[in-house]
Amino acid sequence: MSSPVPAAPADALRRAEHALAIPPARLLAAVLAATATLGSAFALAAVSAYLVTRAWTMPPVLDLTVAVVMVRALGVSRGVFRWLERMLTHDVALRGVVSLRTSLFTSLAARTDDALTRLRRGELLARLGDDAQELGDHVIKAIVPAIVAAVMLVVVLATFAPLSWPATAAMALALLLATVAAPLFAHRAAALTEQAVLTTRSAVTAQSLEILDDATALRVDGRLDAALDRLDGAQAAHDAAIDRAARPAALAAAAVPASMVLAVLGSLLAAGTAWTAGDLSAGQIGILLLLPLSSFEAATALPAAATQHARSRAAAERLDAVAGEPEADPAPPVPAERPQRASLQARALTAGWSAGSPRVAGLDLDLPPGTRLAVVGPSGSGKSTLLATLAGLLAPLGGEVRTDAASLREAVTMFAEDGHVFATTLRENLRVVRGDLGDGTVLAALAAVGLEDWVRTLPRGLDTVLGPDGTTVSGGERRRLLLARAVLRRGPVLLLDEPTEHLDTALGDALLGALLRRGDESLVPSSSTVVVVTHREEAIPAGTPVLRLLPDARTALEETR
Amino acid sequence: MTTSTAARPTTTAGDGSAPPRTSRAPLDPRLVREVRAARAHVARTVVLGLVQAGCVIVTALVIADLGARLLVERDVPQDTPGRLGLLVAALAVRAAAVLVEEATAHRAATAAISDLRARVLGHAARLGPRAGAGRGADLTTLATTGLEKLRPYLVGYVPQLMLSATVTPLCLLTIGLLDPLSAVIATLTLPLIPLFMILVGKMTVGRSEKLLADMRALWSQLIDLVDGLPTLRALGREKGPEKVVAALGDRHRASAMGSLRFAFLSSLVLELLATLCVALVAVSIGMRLVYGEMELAPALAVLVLAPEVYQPLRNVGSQYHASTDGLAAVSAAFEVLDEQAPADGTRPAPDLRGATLALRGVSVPSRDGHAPHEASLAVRPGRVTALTGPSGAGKTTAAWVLLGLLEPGTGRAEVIDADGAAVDVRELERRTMWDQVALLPQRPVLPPGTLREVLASARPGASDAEIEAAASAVGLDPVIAQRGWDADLGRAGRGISLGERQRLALARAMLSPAPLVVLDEPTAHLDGAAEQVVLDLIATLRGQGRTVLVIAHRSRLVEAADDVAAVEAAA
Repeated sequence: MSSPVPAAPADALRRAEHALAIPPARLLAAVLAATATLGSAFALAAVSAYLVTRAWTMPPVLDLTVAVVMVRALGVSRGVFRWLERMLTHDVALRGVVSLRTSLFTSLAARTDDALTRLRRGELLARLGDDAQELGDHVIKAIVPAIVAAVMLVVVLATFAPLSWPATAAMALALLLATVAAPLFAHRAAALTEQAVLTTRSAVTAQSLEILDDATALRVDGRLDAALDRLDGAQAAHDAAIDRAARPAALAAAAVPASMVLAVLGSLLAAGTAWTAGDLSAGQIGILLLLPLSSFEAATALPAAATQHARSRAAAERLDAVAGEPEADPAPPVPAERPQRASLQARALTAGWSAGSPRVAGLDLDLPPGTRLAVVGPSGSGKSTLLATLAGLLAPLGGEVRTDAASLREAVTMFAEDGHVFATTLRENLRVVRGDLGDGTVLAALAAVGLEDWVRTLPRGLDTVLGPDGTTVSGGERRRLLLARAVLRRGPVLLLDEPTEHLDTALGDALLGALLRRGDESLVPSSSTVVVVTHREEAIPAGTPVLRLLPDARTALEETR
Repeated sequence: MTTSTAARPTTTAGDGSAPPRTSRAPLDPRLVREVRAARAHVARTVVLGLVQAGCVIVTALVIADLGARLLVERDVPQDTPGRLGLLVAALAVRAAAVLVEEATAHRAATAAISDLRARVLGHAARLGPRAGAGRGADLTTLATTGLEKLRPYLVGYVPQLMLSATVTPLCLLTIGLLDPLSAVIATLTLPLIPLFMILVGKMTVGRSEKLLADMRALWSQLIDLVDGLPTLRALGREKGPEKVVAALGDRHRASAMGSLRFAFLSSLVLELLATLCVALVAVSIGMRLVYGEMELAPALAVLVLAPEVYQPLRNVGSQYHASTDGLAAVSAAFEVLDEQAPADGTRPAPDLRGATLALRGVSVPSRDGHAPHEASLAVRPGRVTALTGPSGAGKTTAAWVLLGLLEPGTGRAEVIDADGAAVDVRELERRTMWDQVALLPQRPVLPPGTLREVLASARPGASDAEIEAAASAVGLDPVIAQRGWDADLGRAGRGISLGERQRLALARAMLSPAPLVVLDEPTAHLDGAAEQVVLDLIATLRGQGRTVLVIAHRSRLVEAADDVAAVEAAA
């Protein structure tokens, strides 16, 4: 999708983990709490087994006091540690998601290629939302459980080791089976599922949408049943893919109870040998007998951890594609003080979204400082595409755009038709072009685009909050706000996309004239080059050069009478 | 144990953190009753649950028995090999039960999902063009991703629910037989779980709503920044807002943690009661053993069984979200299926070559009023009728009513045969009518296949010459020259441009022998030159004596018509 070659998948997850920027101390605290939770249950099983078998030997009650107190304490501690663990892991994960999202936003903003221009909104939100969340879950469901399982493996073996070596060996084997084989199966299942979702499920989705969208025509044509049959076919292929993934998943789920056989058998035999030989006390035998059943709790979380790992990796790869390669030599920031004038030239420029269908081909254009140019053509002919390419926001398919300024981005500013009005105050919405603007300048610009009266009607003037949750802005007001931004910008080259759409004809035509008339300084200094996309051909001042976009990516440069 | 971590309003946090907002049964009765795969799955999980319960109990009894006799007799009991065999068998059967359950659960979920999906889609199609009215996107979401939520529900939640209905009571019963006092302790703590859950739920409910509102607000601010990023970048001002992104995220985290602090109390309660019960049982048994009031074997068995009573309940708690999401999907699906599809008529349609189609005072409710409002018009045989009106006037809707695809709110659609006998379109067996109609909707819908197949299917038995003439007439020659007749257009013609698809659909309309041709905005995706193609097509159809209804904006199409009918909307 994007130009840089995506790096190896494994690195993508590592980079994402790095972007989570998890503080080691917080992670350690979370792991400790999680270990204490599982440790409490494990210790409770051990101490209560000891307590019961020791009690059977009828010692003085005082001898049991410590065990009784421990059992009671452990009965309470697990719940408390569980709460702590959940708080700590979620805190770490949420912090991670914030860093990840911020770093994604930063790298997206810093990309020098046209990826941002090409990215669809839904996709971008999915990356920032679902995929960032997936990596938060990566902390909660994969990283912490994996570390805890490793710690608990050591704890369990260390508990069995002093009692009986054969029992420890059997337990080690069983735990290895549960902690290695089960996650491997689960990982395989998750990979197969992911694949099924990508291939067969999208076929099911496409077929479903087709039926929903075209139901009426399909019914009249008598083709609905055929379409439903095709859905069945797609669904069957998907079912088969899911079935293939279910097999390793089932093996993963059965691995823990299966490995328990080994552990229980080994412990029982060891207990028999030790007790008849008189090597161990009754309490210790009790531990050997009952504890194996309670030694696998940490391992049971591992198949889910492996599944999450596979999902996280897929999410990380998607994030990687959006974030792009970290820039080795980041482009210098656009300086606040920009050149007053700059020329812009297009040489054999071919512009479009995909190489297969260029919108404009072989365009040569010379725009010395102070040029005024109107771009016209039927809708869909590529006017906006051309503008984005001239602004350096979309990479040319062929040819080049040149300027005598230090860089294209420095010289050219594009004001898109769908420029965003932020959910903030009117003042900030205009100061977005330059942070140092005073209220006087801002009001003057608003007056220049005919918004003087509108500002007066606003409840809080420049402090009025605009946007979805604030004061609604009509289509015409929005256009003029965007135009006011351009006026405030005062760059050497301004590209404006349909700045007067949605305005009433008289006002719109007046503004268009002010933009395009050479020497008219009411909106833009005469040294600035202005390119305006418009469909109001009759309003273009006489003598203005007009670039007309024609079918088949052809262009013609003419001049109004 | 899933907990969402993103600032998205769609998900809430915590396992079992919030109480169910609506009191739904954990198992939808209709799902069990009407979806065979789900019913078989539930029955199977019950059986497998019983098997697992049996295995757990046998395991506990054998270990306790062997262990107790070993300790008491200080010798390996005679029947040890047999007992060990039984133990291994019990553990192995349990593993096998888990294996079977997991493997079949996915199969069952897949079958249930495809069953429901096919039924929902088929039914939605039969509900007519307005099936999605008011929930268009919802229906799409339900059919694509929504129903997939059944998978975690059926694979994760239902088996644990069945285990808590089998393993928990059976273990409790066994404990009761072995040591009534321990069973009393367990029975007393068990009801505390739902009790405390409700209390915790009551505590969190206001908070999760606040969290949800916070999340929504923060997420929309984030979206604002993301939406504005291209604008900021075009202005060269893209540096800086990342600080806002971080600050928004931190605020969300603080808000979420404040809410989770209470939500996680539910896991605290669950774990606390489970382990506390085990601890109480252990201490009680230990004290009685010291005074010789109890045998060792039942004591060991009870100790093994006590945690098993709680395990399924804990798992059910951790699958809470799978259950609510899955149940929501099920009830949404049945909501669609419950909607009554308009009944088909029984009378065969008259020959449309000589029939007039008419609307008599037809109004169809729309989002803000009626579109069309009080429409009356007639489409006479062998003539070209243009249906006009401003956008949103209900032109397409009027055509739907005319064809019996949609029931009007008031008024009626009639078919008047050559003898002048009028019959309500609702009484007609629609198939017999639609077989005489070629409908070209605004967005052309093509069958799959190659260029030749797509055209040939418009009229079975058409000769190659006829097909080629039709293709040529609509200006498809460049496409054929470029791709050839055997180019696969992919599913529904997605392989070619919209304009080319429109031309193909026009060629199909020309080839089709249907006496009535309905063209809905046929020039919508065509440029001015191609408009002539449509005009020529209409002239050809008229020459063949066919009836044409053309829904049109453009004046040239209206000028070409013999009759003009206008519809309008009313608030």
